[in-house]
Order: sequence, then structure tokens, then C-alpha cells
Amino acid sequence: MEQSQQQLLHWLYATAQGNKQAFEQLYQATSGKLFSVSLHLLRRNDWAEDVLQDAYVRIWHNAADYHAEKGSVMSWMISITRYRALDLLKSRRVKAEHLDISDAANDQSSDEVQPGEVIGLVRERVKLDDCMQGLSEEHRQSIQLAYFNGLSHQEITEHTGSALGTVKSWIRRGLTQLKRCLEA
Amino acid sequence: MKYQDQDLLDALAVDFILGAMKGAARKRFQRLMMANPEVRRTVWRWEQHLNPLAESLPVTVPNSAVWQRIQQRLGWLAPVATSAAVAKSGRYWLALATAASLLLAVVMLRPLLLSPVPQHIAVIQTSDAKAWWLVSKAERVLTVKATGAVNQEQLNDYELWMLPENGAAPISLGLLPQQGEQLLSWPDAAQGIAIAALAVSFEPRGGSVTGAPSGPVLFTAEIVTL
Repeated sequence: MEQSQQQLLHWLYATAQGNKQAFEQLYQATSGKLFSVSLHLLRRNDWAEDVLQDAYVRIWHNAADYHAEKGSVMSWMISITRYRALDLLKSRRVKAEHLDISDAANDQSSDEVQPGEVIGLVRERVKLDDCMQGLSEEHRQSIQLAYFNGLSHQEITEHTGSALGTVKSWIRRGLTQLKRCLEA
Repeated sequence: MKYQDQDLLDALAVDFILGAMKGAARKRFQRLMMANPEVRRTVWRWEQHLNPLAESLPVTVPNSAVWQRIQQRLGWLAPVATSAAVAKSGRYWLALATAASLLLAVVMLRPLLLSPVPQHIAVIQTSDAKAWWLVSKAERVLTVKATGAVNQEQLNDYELWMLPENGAAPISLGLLPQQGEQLLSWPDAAQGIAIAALAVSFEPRGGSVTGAPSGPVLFTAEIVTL
């Protein structure tokens, strides 16, 4: 994994120099994960593809702005994708009717690429998993619904049947606890 | 509001990342990120905390057309008909062939006019009239010459197709050179069939494996008989 972060970094540096081939390799190695992120937030293939395009156009143009303080290359790319998807969610007013949390929206998922193999997040993920395990079920679920599906606090109340104030405090307390664990 | 309070900053950063912060508050926070390095760093730190969640998502390979469209948006490929349209009918391509290519063909290929054998020629050019290939056919040999304008693609090939006038499926004529000149033999399958136009599709290295254009159609060109 150390090497794969190195590999992504290598491609990103070359991309920043205008190397199209490196950019294509970066795309090939990461687009499956970013598409999944986008698809989970938007739940529509066409919108998720639009977001993916926007994200990579942005990655191409902003490659030189990346630096280590922004996190791993993969984390930086995920953020770009997520923010673009959140913008789209807002502008297209995607509402709860598109949501079916139990449906993983991964009909086309491919096992050609092992999750986490090429992607430079494995170590962080192990740690995060450990810390997430330390949370109560409600805290964990609220954070996941908000992160993966872009659900607002209000939408989470509809999903969990809890009061708005409760959901807010679950997320807040859950994240405080998570931070303590992650930064310990 | 005081942003020195780290707990408050954490809460705001998380709301921002998760998308719970909306509208004017979100814009205000974005401005604050630009102005205040501490705010910015807090957001980055939380992104690093939360983004590994995405690791548990399955990998979903996007349609290959997405990569084509990204390249088009970056100006690496000529903007073109989508492959969905290609699947519909050969007729669609004919509409794309322009009279301009005819004029240009005559001007640019004047030397060929001196040739004693009857020839069919075509110029394959971009929408802004940059010629990429000059194609001429004599008997059953196709001579294709790449101009300096061709976008060199190491991972892909450009494939030339003949569109039959009767609207039947396109017939592959072979891969186009990315530089220099190349001779292609006219395939038996295309022999004796009236030609409506030529088309060029963008394909994986080695060309389409399906027998039909699988990538986007970048160009169409009409054929002129001399």
C-alpha cells in the first residue's frame, strides 16, 4: 500500500507536468472507486458519470495544487468527487425517492480490481474501521448514511425513525469520539 | 462567530464534508477556508479521517465512454458523435459529412488528379477543417497518409470504416497510421458495394474487436471520384 500511494503520487506529479499517459493510468487505477463514491451519492448512473467526468477534468487541471497536507492522493481525489456530487445533489434536488439504502447500487461492480489494492487507503481504512467499531450502532449508522449517501440530518431521521435533535447529536458525538480514536 | 474554538471548527468541517451545511452557510464557510489556514487544515484533516470510509465501497468500473468524454473535454479528442448514436444507423454519419471536405479534397489532392488510373479520394478532417488523413483508393488498394495534425495516441488506434450506401453495417478497412503513409488492401467484404462515406472511430489498441465501431466516431468523410 505504501507503494501504491507512491505510485499514485508519481502519476499525479507527471499529470501536473502535462503527461497525458500518466493521467490515463491514474484514471484507470482510481476511476472504479471514484465512480462508486459518486454512484452511492447520486444513485443515478448518468449523473454519477457526469460527476466523474467533472472530477477528472478538475484533477487534470488542479494536479499541481495537490500537496501532502491535503491527505493521500486518493483521499484528495475522493474529496473532489464528493464535493462535485454534493453540488449536483443540491442543484438537481435529488430527494429521498432515489434512495434505497439496502440496494448497494453495485450491479456492475467488478472484481477485477481488488478493493483497496491499488488505491492507497488501506492502512487508513484499517484504523478507521477499528475506530468505527468503537462507536455505538446508531452513531456509526448515522455517520455512514451521511457520508455515503449524502443524507441530510432530516433524511436520516426518516431512515432511522429518530428525532432530528437525536440524529444531530449522534453524528456530533460519534465524530468527536472518532476523532479522539483516530488522532490518538 | 469565533472560529478559534477547535470543537466548533471540527463540527463545521464535518458538516461541510458530509454536505449537511448548505446554501449561504456553505459559501461562507468556503470563503473562510480560503482566508483562514486553520479552517482549511481542519477540513483537510477531517477529509483524511472520513474518506477511508470509501474504501469499503465496491469498485464499479465506469463505462469506457466516460474516459472518451473526459478526453474530449480536455480537448485531446475532436468532439464527435457518441457511440450510442453510432449504434443506431450508418445514415446518421452521412449527415455529418460536409461539403467543405469535398472542396478541400480537390485543392489538397491536386497531384493525384494527374494519376492515369481513376481514383477515389477523401480527406478526413476535423470540424475546424484540419486535415488528419488523406485517403485515396485505386483498384483495390487504399493509400492512407497521415498529416502532422494527427493526435498521437499510444494506447489507442484510429480505425477506418466504409459505410455502405444501402445502409448496411459499416465494414472495417483497417487501422489508420498515426504518422507516415500506409497501404491497406480493400477487403473482399466491401468489394462491389457502393460507398456512401468513410468514418473513423477511436478504438483500443489493435482496433475494435466487435467487428463494428466500439469507440466514438471521430470523423466522417465523403469520397470523391476523379
